[in-house]
Amino acid sequence: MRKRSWENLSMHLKRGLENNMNSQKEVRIKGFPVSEGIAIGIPLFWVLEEESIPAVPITLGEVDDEINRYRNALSSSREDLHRLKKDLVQEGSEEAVTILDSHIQMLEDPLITTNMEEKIRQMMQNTESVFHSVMTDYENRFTRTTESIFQQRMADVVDLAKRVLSHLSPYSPKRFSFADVPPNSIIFAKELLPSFTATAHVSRVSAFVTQVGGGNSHAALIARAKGIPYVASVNLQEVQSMDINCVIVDGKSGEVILNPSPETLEEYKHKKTDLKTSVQTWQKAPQYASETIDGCQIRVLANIGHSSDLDNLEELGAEGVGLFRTEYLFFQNRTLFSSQDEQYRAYAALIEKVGNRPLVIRVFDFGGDKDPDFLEQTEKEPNPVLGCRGIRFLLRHREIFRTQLKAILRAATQGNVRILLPLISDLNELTEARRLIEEVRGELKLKGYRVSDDIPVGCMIEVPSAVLICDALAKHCDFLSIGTNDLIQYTLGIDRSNPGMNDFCYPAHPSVIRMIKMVITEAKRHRKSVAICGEIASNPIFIPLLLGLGVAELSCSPRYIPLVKRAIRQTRLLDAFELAQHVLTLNSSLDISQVLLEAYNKTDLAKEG
Amino acid sequence: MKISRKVRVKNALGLHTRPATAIVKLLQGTKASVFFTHKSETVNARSIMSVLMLAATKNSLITITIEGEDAQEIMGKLVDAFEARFGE
Repeated sequence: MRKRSWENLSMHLKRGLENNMNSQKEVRIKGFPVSEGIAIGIPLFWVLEEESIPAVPITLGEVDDEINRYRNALSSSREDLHRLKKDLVQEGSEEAVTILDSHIQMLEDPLITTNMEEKIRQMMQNTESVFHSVMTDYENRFTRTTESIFQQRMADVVDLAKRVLSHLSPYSPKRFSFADVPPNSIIFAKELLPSFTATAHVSRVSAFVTQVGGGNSHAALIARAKGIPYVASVNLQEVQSMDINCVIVDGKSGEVILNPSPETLEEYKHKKTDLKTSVQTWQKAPQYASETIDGCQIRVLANIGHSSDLDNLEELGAEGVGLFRTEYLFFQNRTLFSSQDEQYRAYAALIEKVGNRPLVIRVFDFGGDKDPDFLEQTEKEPNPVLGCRGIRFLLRHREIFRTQLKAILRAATQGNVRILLPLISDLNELTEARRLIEEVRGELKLKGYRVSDDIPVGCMIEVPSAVLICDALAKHCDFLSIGTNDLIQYTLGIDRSNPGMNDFCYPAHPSVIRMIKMVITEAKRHRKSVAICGEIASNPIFIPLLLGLGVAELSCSPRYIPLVKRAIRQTRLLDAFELAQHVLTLNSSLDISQVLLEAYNKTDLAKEG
Repeated sequence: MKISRKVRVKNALGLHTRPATAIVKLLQGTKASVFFTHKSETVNARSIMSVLMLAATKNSLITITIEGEDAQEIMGKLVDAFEARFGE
């Protein structure tokens, strides 16, 4: 078992040596790839110094003071976390927000609140030592469990405990944050704590390399949400004994290259511009119209998971919400499809925020790989990705579905609301959902509610079967939305949560491009709109192709909107059309990605790096 | 009123942080005492850390015991939430 101590945080940064440029030999270390992307930077060793905590007896008269001191530390910790959460919401890192949310909830845990206060009264010792012993006890209990996933969650408890302790100590050093490190730092640490990882920003932290930690850890999740490359399972002792002036981290292959040769450096610089995965300086949100050079208007919408994400839509230049994921709403507001009224209020509040801009509400999409933690699932269960998810779940659990539909119909008397059905694979599912909508509308009217009379209903196109029958679907619904992430997964038979199967080439597979083309053709024939929502819609390399295929609506994570708009404004529709025609004649993903990259490298966006 | 019922954990990763957080949030504002029992260990369902320490993996059986006025309503919500894999 690892020993840990909870003494005040004193962390030291040790800058790697920056001399001996010429005498260094290139060293390659293979680690475990955790978060994709390539980084080139300067090493920064992050050391958590551990000290012991002395137990000091207190008198009866001091007990209340100690408890007050403890409560203050908890409330300062709470403030920290709320501040951090707000930053993450702005960055659009939904997964990271969820993790911080659980930390905030943990601070309310009776084990941390009432139990701790009782313990201080019982033990009559200084808060730090009581807290330390209580936390060590929990840590031991966590480490006893045999399931690694629960052991990994110990990191959250350690993280929270460090935060609280840092607020207890009057002489605590300036609280450490990755926001303060020099730009282009590559952080080497024994392990990462989730909330510390959350303070990192791509403009300063280029990559993480750790000895402990895996793809399932919360720190990994946060790094991925932030687009920061991360490689784990690297022996740090080996690294620390060397003089290092430059490091390359390849978060896809898991390779860490120390003191790269000029040739290697050149190679990776190239790769880096090719595979632009990190969000960079496009944050300057252009308020310009999203139109191509030749004046074709493209609608850019936001994919939203939390209503708080809506706060900076305007600033980012979104024209509306192309995908509102309702399943997340219920963890924010803890209403969990309980009552129709609670849901109604949530949707009404949402509609009020969005105003008259389009708002596509996707009904609950439960099941499948919604949880990125899914990655290392080892059980021999029937594959949930091929199981009861999306519309299938809703048609099987009708009460949940009906309650949600009622709440949406009532709220939709205002605003410009559409309903989107996830994972449609059969026309029956669409007609049955439409029938249910009519049915609940009738019921609501009988009860005297005001309801929306003509709410458009759309299908998510995310399985090949839906593509092949999209003529029928387009005829019977009001709009289509192509979810490319799932479509790629189901078409190519590739598990997208498997890091080993994550390749730039897949979205460029001819089957995927042809499917998009098919859907657009059928939708146009039936005069229905089509939106693309999925990672491909936020990738500047794909945007000219999508426009050339006839896409007029893109929906992506809010933080990518400025980037997407710039890519659109640099595209000439005529060229895009030619590009698409050419791509449709190609038969391999390699050829297609090459053509797309060549076209992309000629743009200003690529030159700006 | 005191009621109890068995539910199965459907989440692939068991009752990990996100479900535990969802449970605690779901119970906020309710009054009854809610306990989860798994393999002879019984914990307060309002404590994230205690729920995590149950280390309940997929397909584990959890006995939910609720005592209080709103027991029936809370039980309904909890069973639905387990059923819906807490939105995962």
